[in-house]
Amino acid sequence: MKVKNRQPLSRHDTRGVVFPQHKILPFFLILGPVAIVVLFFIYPTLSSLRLSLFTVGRFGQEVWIGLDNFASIFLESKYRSSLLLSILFSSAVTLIGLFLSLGIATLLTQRLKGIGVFRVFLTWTYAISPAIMATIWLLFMDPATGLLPYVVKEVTGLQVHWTASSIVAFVVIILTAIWARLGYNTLFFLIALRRVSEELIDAANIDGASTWTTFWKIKFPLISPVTFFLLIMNTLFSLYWVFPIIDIMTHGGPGRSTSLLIYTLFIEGFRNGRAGLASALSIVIFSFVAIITIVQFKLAGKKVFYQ
Amino acid sequence: MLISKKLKLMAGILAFACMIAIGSAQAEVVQVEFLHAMSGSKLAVTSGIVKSFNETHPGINVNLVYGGSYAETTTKAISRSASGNAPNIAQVEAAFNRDLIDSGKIVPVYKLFAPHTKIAFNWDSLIDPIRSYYAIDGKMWSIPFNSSTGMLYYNKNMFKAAGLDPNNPPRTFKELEEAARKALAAGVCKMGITTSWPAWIMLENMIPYNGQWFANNDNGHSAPPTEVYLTGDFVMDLMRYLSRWSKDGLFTYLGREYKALPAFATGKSLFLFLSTSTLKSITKKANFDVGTAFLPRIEGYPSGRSTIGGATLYVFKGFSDKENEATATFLKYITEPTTTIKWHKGTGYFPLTNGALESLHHEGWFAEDSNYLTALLELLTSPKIPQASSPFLGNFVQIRDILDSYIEEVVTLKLTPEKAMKKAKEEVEKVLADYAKLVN
Repeated sequence: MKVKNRQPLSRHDTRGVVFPQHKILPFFLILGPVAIVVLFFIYPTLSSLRLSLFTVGRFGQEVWIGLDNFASIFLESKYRSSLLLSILFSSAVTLIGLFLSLGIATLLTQRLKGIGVFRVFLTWTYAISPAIMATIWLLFMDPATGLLPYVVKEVTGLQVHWTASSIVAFVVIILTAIWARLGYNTLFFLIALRRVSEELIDAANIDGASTWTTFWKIKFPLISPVTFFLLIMNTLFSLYWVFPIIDIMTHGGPGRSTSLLIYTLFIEGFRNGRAGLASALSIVIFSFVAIITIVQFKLAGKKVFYQ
Repeated sequence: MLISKKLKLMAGILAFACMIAIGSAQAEVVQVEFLHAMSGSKLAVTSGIVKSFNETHPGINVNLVYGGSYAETTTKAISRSASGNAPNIAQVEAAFNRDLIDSGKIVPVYKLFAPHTKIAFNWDSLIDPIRSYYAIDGKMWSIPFNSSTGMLYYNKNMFKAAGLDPNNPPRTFKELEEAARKALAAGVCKMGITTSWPAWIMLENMIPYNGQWFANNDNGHSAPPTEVYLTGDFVMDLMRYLSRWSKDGLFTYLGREYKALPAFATGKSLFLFLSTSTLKSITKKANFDVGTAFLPRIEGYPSGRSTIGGATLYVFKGFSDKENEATATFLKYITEPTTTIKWHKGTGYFPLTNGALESLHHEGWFAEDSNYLTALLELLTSPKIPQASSPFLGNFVQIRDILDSYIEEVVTLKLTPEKAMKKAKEEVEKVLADYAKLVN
C-alpha cells in the first residue's frame, strides 16, 4: 500500500527509524550478517564464476581455458549423461513424490479414531537427514543381509542385486529420495488441506459433487500455493540434497548409472581436485534450477490461486 | 563506583590470561597429528597403539584424527597441506605415492633418521617385499603402517557340502569357475564368486601377479607414465572371465571397497576376493570354517607377485625439528616388534619386520591359525620381478575411480570387455596427460 503525499523525513521526524540517536550504530550492527553473506555466498559465487574459466590444479595452479569446461560438460558423454540422469531423476522424484504425498495427506485428513498416530508416523521422517536416511536404506537393501531383498526373494523368488544392475540402482535411489521427502511433503499438504474451508466442502457436497470432483475442482486449486512451493522445494532437493543418498548408497555406480550432476561435481571438485570443472558444473546446475524455477513461476501465474 | 567496576573487570581478565599462559607453559608436550583412515576394529587397534605410545612417551602426544576413506584422507591431506595446515603424519594409500611425492610437500622419512638425525633406524629389519615396494632409489620415503596383499577367502563348510576338498582351494581361474559352478548347482551357496575393491584386486593385484606391466616407463618409475596396458591379452582374458561369470550367474557384484564383505561373513557367498587386512574381523564374524588361499592365476601367464595394499605413513613439511623428532619417535615405535605383532594379531595386516615375524613363528601363532600365514607365504614365495613395482601414477584417486567404474560396466554387462577397457584406457591416459601438464 503506497502512502501518497508522505512528507520527507526531517531531522526531527523519527518514524521508522529504530535507533534515532545513533547515526552509525545501525550500520555497525548489520556489518556482521552482511560480512557473513559476502564471505559465504557472494565471494564464493563470484570466485566460482571466475574459476569455471580455468583449469585448476590440486595446488592452486591456474591455466586459462575459456569456455572449455562448459564445452566438456555438454559434449563429453560422461558429463552429458550426468545431466540427462539428473533431469530424469529430478522429474521422477518430484512428480511421483508429490503425487504420493498428496494421496497420503488426503487420507490423513479423514476423521478417524487414532488418525493422529498415523499423522505423526507418516510425517516425522521430516526430521531425519538424507545421510541417515541413505544409511538406513543401504542396510535395508543390502543384498546379503538386508530385509527388503529377503522379502522380495520370499515373495517373488527373484534375487535382486541392485548393486549389479544400473537400472535397479537408479530406481533404488529414486525410491530412497522419494521416501526421504515424503514426511516433509505430506506435512505441508496436510496443513494446506486442513485449511480448506469446511463450508466450501459442505456446499459442494450439497450440490451433489462426488469426492473425486470435490478434490480436483475445489481442494486441489485451493492448495495450489503449497503445491507450487513444494514443486520448487522438491526440485531443489532432488538436485542438491540428494547427494548423501548417492555418496552413501551407490558412489555413482554401478558404472556411471547413478552419477547425478551434484555427485559428479563433488568427485571432480573434491576427489579429483579439478576446481575449475567443478565450478563450471555448479554454474550449470544453478542455471538449470533457475530455468526450472522461472518456468514454474510463469506457469504458477496462471494456475496458482492465493486467497 | 564505575571506575572501580572497570578495574575489577580488567584485573579479572589479566588473572585469567596469566593462568592460561602458565598452564600452557607447563604443558610443554609436543603435539603430533596423525590423520588416518582406519575404521571399525582396525580403529580400535590403532587407538590402542597410539594410547600406549602416549603413555610411555610423556613428552609427546599423538592425536588421532579420522580422515574418512583412503581417498578422502589422501585428498584431505593434500588440500590441507596446500593451505598450509598439514597434519604431521597422514595415512596414505600406497597407490597415491606419486601424488604425494610430486607435491613437494612431504619430508621423505629417511631424512628423519640417522645419519640425518640422531635417531637410529634399522631399515633392513623391514620385510623385504614391503620395503622394496615402497623404496624409491633404495630409500624409504614413507613408513608402511598397514600392509596387505590380495588373497582369496572361501567357505570351507560349503566346500564340504558341495563335495569339494576344503583343503584344496582352486589355484587358477578355471578351477575357481569349476568350484563355483559345482557349489551353485549343489545349492550350497546363494552367491558364487564375489570381490571387494574391484580395481585393486582385479587390476592392481592380478596384473603384476601374472607377471604383466601396469603402465609404461617401468610402471612410471623411470619416467612419467603415458600409457596403461589395459587392452593387452592378459587384461582382456581376465575381463572376459568376469563378463562370462556375470552372465552365467557365477559372479555377483556387490559394490566397491568392502561392500562384499557381509555377504561372505554371513555365509551367503562361496568365494570372496579380498586382502589379509580383514582376516581377524572375518574370522570373528563367521560362524563357519574360514579358508584362505593364494590369489588364483590365469593359466598361460608367467608367475609374478601381487601388489602391496593398505597404506603408508607420510610426514609433511612445515614442522619444527622438535616436532619432526617426535614424529620420528612415533614412527620408530610402530615398527617395534611388540607393536607390529599387536597390530598383526589384531587385524591380519602383515607384521612389518623380520624380527616380529620370527617371534610370531616361535610362539606358535601361525600354528594356531594358519590363515594368518597365507598372504605372507603368497608374498614370500613370489618372484621379485620388476613388474611388481608399485604403479607410480599421478592423480591415482581419479584413475582408480575410472578403473572401478569400467569394471562395473563389464560386470553389469552394460559394455563388452573390449569396449570397456578401450574406454578405460582412453580416460586413464587422458588423466595421465593432464597430470603431466599440471606438474610440469
